[in-house]
Amino acid sequence: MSSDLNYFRSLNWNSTVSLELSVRKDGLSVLDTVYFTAYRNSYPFFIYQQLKYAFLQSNHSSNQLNSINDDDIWFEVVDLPESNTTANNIPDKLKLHWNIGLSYDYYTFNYNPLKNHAPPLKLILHLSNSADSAAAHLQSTKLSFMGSLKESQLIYWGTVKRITQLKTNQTEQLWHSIQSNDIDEYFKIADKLLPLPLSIKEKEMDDNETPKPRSIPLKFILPDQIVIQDILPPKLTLQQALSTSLPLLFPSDSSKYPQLAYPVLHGTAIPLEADISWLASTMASPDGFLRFCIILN
Amino acid sequence: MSGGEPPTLPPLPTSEALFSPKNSPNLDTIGSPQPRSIASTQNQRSAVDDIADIEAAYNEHGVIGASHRALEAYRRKEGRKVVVRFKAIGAAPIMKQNFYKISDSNKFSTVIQFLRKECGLSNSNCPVFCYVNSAFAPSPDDSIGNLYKCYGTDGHVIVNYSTSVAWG
Repeated sequence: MSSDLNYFRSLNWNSTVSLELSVRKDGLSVLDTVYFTAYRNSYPFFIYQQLKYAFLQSNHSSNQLNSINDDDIWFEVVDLPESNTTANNIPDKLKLHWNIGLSYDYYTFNYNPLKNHAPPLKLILHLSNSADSAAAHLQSTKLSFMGSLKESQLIYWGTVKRITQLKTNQTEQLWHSIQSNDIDEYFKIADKLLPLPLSIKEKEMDDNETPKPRSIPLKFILPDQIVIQDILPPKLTLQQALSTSLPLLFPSDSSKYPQLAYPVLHGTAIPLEADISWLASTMASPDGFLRFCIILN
Repeated sequence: MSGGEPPTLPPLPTSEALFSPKNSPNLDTIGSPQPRSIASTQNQRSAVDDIADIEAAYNEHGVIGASHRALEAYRRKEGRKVVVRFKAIGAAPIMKQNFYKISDSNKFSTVIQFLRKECGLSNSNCPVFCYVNSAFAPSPDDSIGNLYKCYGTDGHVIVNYSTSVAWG
């Protein structure tokens, strides 16, 4: 059972998505088109950093690169159906605080569904001229990660003590593990934060060893980026959780219409019998949240 | 289409007396978020209308029609008002009034902007850090509706703000 846990955790951490990135400067010429494989858990800004050091540097003169302000860059999602891009041609910006895997699932399953085939997500990397220049990207990615980690802690345990009790170097280690996609380093710290599946706990742990989580933090991402957040008790199946949070799309058995959508997590349609606390221990985002893309049938 | 009134929240505290120090909720005793009770999902009128509409769409247009009608129900701006109560921490400037009603379809970034304006920090570089329930900083992207549903206490969302990092 414990090895199952590690197996699914490593699947989650080691799986990747493919991206097709057109690199543009000043919104004009395409400097390059790059195919890139990214870990699902990585954040878009990390992808930019890797590209910059590994690729752009060798292909472009240092002059061109020196003029880039890292905090001006942004990603545009292209290749969406007409109806989706908002009427007045506002480019669809990639959310920098979503893991790339989540964005990939959201855009691919909703707008580009091809059976048994995972096309690269097409993005434009703009090297300057952001419409609204945001704060320092790296810093805000970190703040947003730590913010939602604390939020999920509050929901799991009713307190954020487990984080505030971490030493500064442990917090830094945790953030470093996210940046380097280092699963072992991550779980050295995260094992103190995230719940174990109930089944393991009952068998292997002393009763007083670790408290059971009170609730599970869930976010459901519907088409048009409608986000429904919920806090549910741990002993539920995914079916029960969905019909509680999204009763119109996942009606009860007595309903006169069938289930209208299905949940996707890490690129996989998840069976509805799955137990949400098991999913939280094995397949939650590194910040502790279970984020499902809800795809309409 | 549904003609039902949007669901109403419990009556909002309107008089300032409710927020006087004597009656003000004690932050230390505000509980952690509880899981939502499963039983109380759907008894509101608009939900009943939605279900009827979805059934009709299903009979007429099949699953695709029904799923789009259901999505529309989730997209619809409810227009419910939520009370946001601000509480300054440390040296943060104090606001003249510390609670405001805001429509629940707004993003948290609206609250941050509003707070900066009220504190006279719109044009300054002074950072403002906002926390919910003295615990975590919500993402600017989070909707007020979600924050209220998950962390609302006695009909309001408590936002602590500070000009320096407060809770790590």
